Amino acid sequence: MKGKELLIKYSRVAILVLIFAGAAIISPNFLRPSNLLNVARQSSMLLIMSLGMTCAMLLGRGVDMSVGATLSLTSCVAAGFLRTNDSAGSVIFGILLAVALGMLVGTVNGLLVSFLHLPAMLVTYGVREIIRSLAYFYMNGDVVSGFHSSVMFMGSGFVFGVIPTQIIIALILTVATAWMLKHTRVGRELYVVGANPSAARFSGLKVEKSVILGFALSGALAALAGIIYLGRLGAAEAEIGNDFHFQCVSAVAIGGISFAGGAGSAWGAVIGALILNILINEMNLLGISSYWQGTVNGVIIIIAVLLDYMVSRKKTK
Amino acid sequence: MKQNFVKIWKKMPSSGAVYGIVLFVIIFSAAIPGYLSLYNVTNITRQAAVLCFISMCSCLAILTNQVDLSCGAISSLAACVAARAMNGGSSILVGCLFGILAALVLGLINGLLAGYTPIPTFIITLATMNIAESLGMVLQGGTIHIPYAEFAQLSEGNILYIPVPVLLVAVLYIRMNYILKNRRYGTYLYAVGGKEDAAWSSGINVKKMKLSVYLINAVLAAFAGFIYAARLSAANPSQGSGLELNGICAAVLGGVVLGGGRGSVFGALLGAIAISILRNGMNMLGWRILTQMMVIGFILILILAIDVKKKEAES
Repeated sequence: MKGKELLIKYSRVAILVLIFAGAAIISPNFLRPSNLLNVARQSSMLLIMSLGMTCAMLLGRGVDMSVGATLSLTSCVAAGFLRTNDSAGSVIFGILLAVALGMLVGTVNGLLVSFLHLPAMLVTYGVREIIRSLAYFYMNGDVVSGFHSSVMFMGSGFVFGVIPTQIIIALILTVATAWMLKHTRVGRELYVVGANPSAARFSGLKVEKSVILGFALSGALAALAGIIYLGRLGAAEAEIGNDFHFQCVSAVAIGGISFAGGAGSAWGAVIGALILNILINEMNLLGISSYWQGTVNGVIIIIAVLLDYMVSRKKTK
Repeated sequence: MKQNFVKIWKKMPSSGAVYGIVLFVIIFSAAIPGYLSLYNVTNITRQAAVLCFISMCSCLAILTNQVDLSCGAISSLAACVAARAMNGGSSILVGCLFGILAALVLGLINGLLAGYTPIPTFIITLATMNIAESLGMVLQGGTIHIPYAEFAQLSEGNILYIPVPVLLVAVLYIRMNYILKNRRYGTYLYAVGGKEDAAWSSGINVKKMKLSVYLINAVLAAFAGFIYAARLSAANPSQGSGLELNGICAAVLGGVVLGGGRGSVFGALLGAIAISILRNGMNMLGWRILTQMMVIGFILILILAIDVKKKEAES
C-alpha cells in the first residue's frame, strides 16, 4: 500500500524519467550537454509562466488564457525603458513597470472572475483579445531591439560562465512560489479557496481577495517571463507571446495541477514544462516539422489529464 | 404607470441579440451611406452563414453544459482536407465527404472523451482545437486554391433569388428547432444540460448524448468551413481561428445560458446575426482588425456579465 502511494505521488517524475530515457535512446545527440542546457533554457521561461498559471488554477475558477497576451503587452511597454544606453534606474523602472502592468491585467481578470462570477476561461479570453490589440496599438508595427546588458544577461547570459541565468531565475522563482504556496498564509488560502470556496467563506477567508491575488500573480509572473524572453530574443514585437497560453495549459495539465482547483504544486509545473520541452526538442532533433507541435501538445494534454483522472479514481477506491 | 412599465418590460424579447441587432443596424446605417442597400444586406447574410453554423455548434454544446472550442479549427481542417482532395482530382462531393470525415474523426475524439471520461470539455476541445489546427498546417503550410469554379456557388450562388448559404442556414435552423422542440432527442438534450444526474437516473444515456453532440458539431463545423472556403475559393488552415469565440459570443448573446439546459436555437441564430452585423459594420467603417479584436473582447465580457446577472436574478 505504501509503495502504491509513493508510485502515485511520484508517477509524474517516473514519466519524466521515462521520456528523458526514451529521448536519449532515440537520438544520441539529446544527451549532449549543450542540448540539455538548451532544453533547460527553453523550459525556464515556460516554467515561470506556468508558475503563475498554477496560482490562478489552484483557485478552481478556470484557466488564465490571457498570460500570453499579457507577456506581449508588458514586454512591449517595458522594452522602451530597457534599451542599450539606458541607465540602471531606467532598467529597474522598466522591469517594475512590466510587473505592475502584469499585475494590473491579472487584477482586472481577478475582479471580473471574483466579483462578477464570470467563467474565468471565457472572460480571460476576452481580456486576451483586448490586451493583444493594446499591444498592437502600442507598438504600431514596430520592432524594438538592442537591450541593456543586464536584460541580455537575464535572458541569454551565464552565471559563472556555465549556468544560464534564466535557469537560475526560474529556479529561484519556483522555490519562492513553492514556499509561498506551502508555508505562507496567502498560499494556503489559495488551496482552501480552490478546494471548497463556500467552506473557505464560512471560515472567514476573503475568497475574492484570494481569487484576485491568484490572477494577479499569474499576470506578474507572465510579465517577468516577458522580460526574460526579451533578453533571449533581443527584440520586442507586438505578438511575441500571444499563443503561449496554450503551452502553459499543457505544462500545468501534464504537471498534475487540477482543473477543478485546490490540488497541485509548483514542482508539478516544473515537471510539466520539462516534459513538454523535452518532447519538442526531440521532435526538432528528429527533424519533424514544427507544424506537428500542436498535435503533440494536444495529445499530451489529453493523455496527461486522462492519466490523472485514472490515478485519482484508483486512489478513492 | 409602473404596472404598465412592467407589462411592457415582460413583453420585450428576453434575448439580448434583438437589442444588439437593432442597435447595430441603427448605428451603422447612420454612419455608413448605403448600408441598408439590398446588395449590402445580402452580403451580410452571406457572411453571416459561417457564423450561424458555428453558433449552432456552440449552442448545442452549451445546452448540454459543455463548451466546444474546437469547432473553428475543425472547420478549417475540413475545408483544407476537402480542398486538398479536390486538387488531388476528386469531385466536389467526394472532396466534401473527405472533409466531413476528417471533421468527424476529431468530433469522435471530442465526444468519446467528453462522454466517457470526466475531463472538463474545455480542456478536451482546447486540445483538439490545437490538433486540428496543426493537422491542417501539416496538410498544407498555407492557402490552397480550390480548382472548381462551381464550388463558389455554395457561398455566392442564388436559388430563386435567395442566397444559397441563407437557404442552408434556414434548413439547418428550422430542422434543429423541430428536433429540439418536438423530438425525443431534443428533450433529452435539454434534460442532460438541465440536470445531468436526474437525466441519468431517468434512463437517458448521457454519455451517448454528449458523444452525439460533438459528432453533430463536427459536421456543422465542416459545413461552416466549406462555406467559408467557397467564399474565398481557397482553404487556409487558420481561416477558422477565433470563430469558436465568436460562436460562443453569439450563442450566449442569443440567450443560451452558460451552464446548460436553457436557450433556443433561434436565439443562437439571432446572436450570430447580431455579431455578423457588428463585424461587417466594423469592416465597412474601415476599422482595423485590432480595434475589432478589442470590441469583440469587450462585448464578450459584457455578454458574460449579463448572462451571469440574469442567472442570479432568476435564482
